[in-house]
Amino acid sequence: MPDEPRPDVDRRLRGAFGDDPAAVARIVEGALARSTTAPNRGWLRLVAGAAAVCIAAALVFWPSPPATEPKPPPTLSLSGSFTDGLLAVSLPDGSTSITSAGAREDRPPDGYGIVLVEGEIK
Amino acid sequence: MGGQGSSITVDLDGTIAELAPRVLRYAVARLGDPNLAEEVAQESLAALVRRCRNGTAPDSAEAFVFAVARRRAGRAAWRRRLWVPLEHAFGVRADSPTPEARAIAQSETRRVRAALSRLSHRDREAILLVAVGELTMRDAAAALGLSVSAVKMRLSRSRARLTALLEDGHA
Repeated sequence: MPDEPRPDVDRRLRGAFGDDPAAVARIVEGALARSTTAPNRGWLRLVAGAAAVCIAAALVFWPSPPATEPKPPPTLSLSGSFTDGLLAVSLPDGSTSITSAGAREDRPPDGYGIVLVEGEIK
Repeated sequence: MGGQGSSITVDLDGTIAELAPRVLRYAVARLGDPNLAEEVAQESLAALVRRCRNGTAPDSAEAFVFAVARRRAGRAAWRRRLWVPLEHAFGVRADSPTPEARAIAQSETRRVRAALSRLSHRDREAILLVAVGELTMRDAAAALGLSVSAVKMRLSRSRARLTALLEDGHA
């Protein structure tokens, strides 16, 4: 026994776990016999197969989101007043927008009518 | 003992017969259960036989077998921790300890096991592989995945501690 500076301790350890010749014989016989067959990995194949089936089913039957109709852009009606060349419009957020596009002479100084406004709704 | 290398392919039966009692001793020391230890030893040796018959013999049969035995003993210990409470709950084995189990629970074996249990896990592994499994430092280092000097250090520490524990009778 190489590397055994304390042979008494090592011997005592070995002696405490004594040999069992019958068990040793069974082990030798079993090791040589069992190794002729591959280890039983049936459960592993079963689990792998089940996982593959689940994945395939999920890919096939996964509910795709229903196609949605594109929504028309929201329409917004604003009302305001036009007085002395100033257009005052009440906006949905509660503020009032006052603009003065260059008033043309042929326009009435005040009154009500339809005004086309172009711009972004914020 | 060690360094048989490729010669195991020549005399596989002889190698198995030579390793069997050593692996069994190691597994008994690890697990304390002769039946479980026999199973672990047999599986470890069967793994070696498979490797050799597949044409991929390991460099060191001893290091290979003990590395497998070490892993399997660890797993067996975990399984036992999980199942033993259930077995007790259902009354299995509760009143029928085997003669081997009774013998292990007595005298010298009990003292040595108690002393071993007071070592750290790493030190215990080193001394079990070298002293009980009779591996060389090199094979033990390979089985543990450590350097030879690290194994030497652990061995020196565990031998000194075991000597003190066994001589003082504290174990």
